Amino acid sequence: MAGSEEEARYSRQLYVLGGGARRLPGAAVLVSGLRGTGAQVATALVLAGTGRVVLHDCDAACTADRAHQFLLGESDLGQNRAEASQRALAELNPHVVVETHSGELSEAFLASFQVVVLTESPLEEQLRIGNFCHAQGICFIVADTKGLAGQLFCDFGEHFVIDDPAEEDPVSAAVQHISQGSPGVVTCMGTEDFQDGDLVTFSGVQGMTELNSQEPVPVRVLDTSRLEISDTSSFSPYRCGGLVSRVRPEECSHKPLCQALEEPKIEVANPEDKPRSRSLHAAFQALHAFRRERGRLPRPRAPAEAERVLELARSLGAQQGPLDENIVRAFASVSAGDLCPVAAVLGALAAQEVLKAITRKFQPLNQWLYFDALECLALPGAAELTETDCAPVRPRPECCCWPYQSLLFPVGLGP
Amino acid sequence: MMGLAAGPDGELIIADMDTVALSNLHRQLLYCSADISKPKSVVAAAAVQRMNPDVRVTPHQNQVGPATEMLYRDNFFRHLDGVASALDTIEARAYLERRCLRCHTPLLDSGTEGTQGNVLPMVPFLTEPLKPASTPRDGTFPLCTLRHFPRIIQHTLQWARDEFEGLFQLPAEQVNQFMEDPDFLKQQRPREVLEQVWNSLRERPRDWQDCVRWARRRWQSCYHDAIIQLLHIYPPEHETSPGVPFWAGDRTCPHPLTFNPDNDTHLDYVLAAAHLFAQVHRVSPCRDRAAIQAILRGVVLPPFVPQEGLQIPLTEEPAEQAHIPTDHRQLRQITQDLVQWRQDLVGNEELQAPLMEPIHFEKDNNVHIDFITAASNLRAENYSISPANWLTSKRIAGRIVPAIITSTAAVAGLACLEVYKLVWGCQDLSCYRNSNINLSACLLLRVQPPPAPTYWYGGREWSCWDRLEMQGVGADGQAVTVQEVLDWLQVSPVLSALSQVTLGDAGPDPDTHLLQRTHGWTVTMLLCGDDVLYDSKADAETRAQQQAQRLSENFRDARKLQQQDLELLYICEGQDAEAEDTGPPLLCSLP
Repeated sequence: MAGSEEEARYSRQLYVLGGGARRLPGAAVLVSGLRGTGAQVATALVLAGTGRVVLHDCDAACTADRAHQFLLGESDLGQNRAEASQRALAELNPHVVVETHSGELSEAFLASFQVVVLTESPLEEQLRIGNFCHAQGICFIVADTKGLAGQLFCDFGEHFVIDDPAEEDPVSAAVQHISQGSPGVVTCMGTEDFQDGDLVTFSGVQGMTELNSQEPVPVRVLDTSRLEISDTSSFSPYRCGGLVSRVRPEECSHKPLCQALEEPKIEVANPEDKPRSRSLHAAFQALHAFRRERGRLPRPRAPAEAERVLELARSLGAQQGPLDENIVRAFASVSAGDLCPVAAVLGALAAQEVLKAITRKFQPLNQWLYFDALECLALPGAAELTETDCAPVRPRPECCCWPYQSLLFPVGLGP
Repeated sequence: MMGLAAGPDGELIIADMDTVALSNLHRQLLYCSADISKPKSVVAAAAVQRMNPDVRVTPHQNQVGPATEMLYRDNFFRHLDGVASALDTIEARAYLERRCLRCHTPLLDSGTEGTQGNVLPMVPFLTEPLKPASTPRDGTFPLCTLRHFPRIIQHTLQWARDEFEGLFQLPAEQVNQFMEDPDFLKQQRPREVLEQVWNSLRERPRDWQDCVRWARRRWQSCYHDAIIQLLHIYPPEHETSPGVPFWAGDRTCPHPLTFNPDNDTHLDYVLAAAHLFAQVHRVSPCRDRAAIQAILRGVVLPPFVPQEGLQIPLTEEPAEQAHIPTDHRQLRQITQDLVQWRQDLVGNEELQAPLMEPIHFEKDNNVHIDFITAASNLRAENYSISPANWLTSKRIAGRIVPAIITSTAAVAGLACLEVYKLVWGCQDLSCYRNSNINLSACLLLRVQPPPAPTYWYGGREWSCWDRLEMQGVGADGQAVTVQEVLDWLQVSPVLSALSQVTLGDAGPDPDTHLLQRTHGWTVTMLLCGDDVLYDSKADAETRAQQQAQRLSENFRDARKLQQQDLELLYICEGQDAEAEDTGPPLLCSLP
């Protein structure tokens, strides 16, 4: 890897992802839904060097998409969103295979992936696919952006092994000698940091180079300078050099979506934000229910529709603690909008979780995270917008970029 | 995407002086492989235009900094609705912040490191100015630690970096200077420089084999001879005082290495060093390891005899190796040789100028990193320090900041959310957000920024953003004199506020006003940066000179002469009261 073409391209990223990055080229990820969030997730995965990224979408690109989905060009309008996005993505990284799929997501199709990301699916589809993935050991992620808020959910199965939970360089010792034997004995510069049963990897060993590419092996501490490892009798004789590094894997266990919905474990940076996140959790579920009822999302800035979402949220009653009604109303009133910056944030967070699933580095999200920028609604002018202000206007070709933004802000973004 | 700058009066200016590199591609989507080596701002502008043809975008290939102040004058900043920065050095960020602070331009600062990132909005009159970013983790190490007593791999890596410059950059630059400048020898040069040039010329290789042999000799000198020398002065059993071993605590006793052509690290060093040496001298390098091993086996070096009387300082005294008496005869011989050699070389028409090619360290050059890694790890072995692999050596020696598309994209999104607030001219602090993310730990924290700090001066509360403003143009169209500034200050609200505090409830009485002028506060000092424009404690003649001077004349810092606006600080003293701390600065606009 040192000095190779991949190193030259991914150099700065390798320092973040560590050894687990070697699993990226062999990984296969499905991204379903190629609106703003899906585009952000797919872009990040392609740039990071995920071997195979498959884009799924059943809908055609429309003018409004171009305000938040940067992969689509003028000439892509009317074409399947996945296919149109595939062209721009393929150019971003020649080392990655980008494919498309516009049919339904059958179990046979899903089985070929290591990670599945849903960005625009209704709740029923999320549950169906989530259950299947959970049973099959496929990492499952929901990344849903609605207006000024986003929802992220991870289910990496019952037994997900994290090879490298920490961010710092691993503990290591210089190797002085390795015997050829069964078991093999490693003499190194001090074994204080090692314990029986620790897993180790080797690097830079000269002579007995077979050890350099091995998966982690357990050691037994013999004394202050020697470790016992498994059979090395068939390896080439040790010459010199090398570093032995400790690897401390952890295991985490996730619930499937159907269970995690009821008693959600929500990650918050600040305990004071828990009520807000819980309210958003209820609001997102209420939104799914509203959509089932009316066949669409709430009309922007329509108070009656926002009230209906709030009613549904109350009746779901699954959240622990009081509902912040203002948050739910605000969320509902702009949930039909799409904003590129919000999609960027949530898409990036989701992409990092995908990378965690593949590289097994860093703690995965346990299991929900909510992000919102609802403070933007307090901006001068934005708070007073009414339903008629936001009625869909037939977009002119030359201002294709602002119609959906106008649902949140007065039209005329400039100077 | 947001449609920023898509209107008739809009403009989006992108400034970056850098070109696209392969290692940039993994974390952004505006450039691809075909764009490598093109200017970043130009490629970025083109990409933006494609995404939204309505956006009026202008690329600038400049670094916004002291050197480009003539281009980006205060008027430029004043006309901006905002600046979004994503800078990678503390200095650049601090400079931009100073300019925005001064010109009351909103600034959105964003940065990432690995999976962490933040966005900090700086909004005039609302938020506090940005705090200086924390100092980088790898500072400079003490010289004697690097030279003789390394303890950790960072020391040996820094040593290897210094070796790189000392072997492949500085000697070549010095030799070229010597060759090009006929007066080189006539000027007073330190003895070391002459010896350096003499050595460099003497060692000029004829072919690749010479390069390999040179590298082998360097190896011997660094990893064997220098250690023997050190141990000769301070043997392993040496004691600082009876019963106190010298080689203890922070000092690990080194051991010399014995060269072995079959040892990969030894060979890596020779290969890289010889390669770089060959490049400096324009000899074609060869990568055949077996051929190099064959050459190495044929090298026989004389045994090393440590020098007597050498001293190695144990503290950071600057006057280090000045204790070897100058051998004047040797110096004369060196000078004579140099004169002769230069004559010969200049006469040789086959040689191209410059004579040698200095190599500047580049972290993305594999041979450079090969050298650094091997050189550092060999020294680490001398001192029983755990070696570092190639990637880690590259990261530390190259001061690489880990980066990844995820945190980069998230921070960009968070910054854009603050842009909405700036565009709408939001004056409500509670709408803005300082954002902090750590994607490795699923952390996303957004909080209201702390308000702009205030302070008391002259009995009144001022914001850190407040300043007094004065047109610095006299009736004759020229810049005002210092006396005119003093007069202006004397009747400014600041001074009358100070006076009111000391005189109690004097009230708005014309006589009181006169009272203030004669018995109240006066300006005792006027400063512009480090320049003292007026000092009431100076003698009468100096004071007269100072008062008569126009603001556009005579500053030590030549840049100030070109500035449109000068920021002046003043110190006031009352007859019965102590000097106050400085009040809001005075911004003086020059013609």
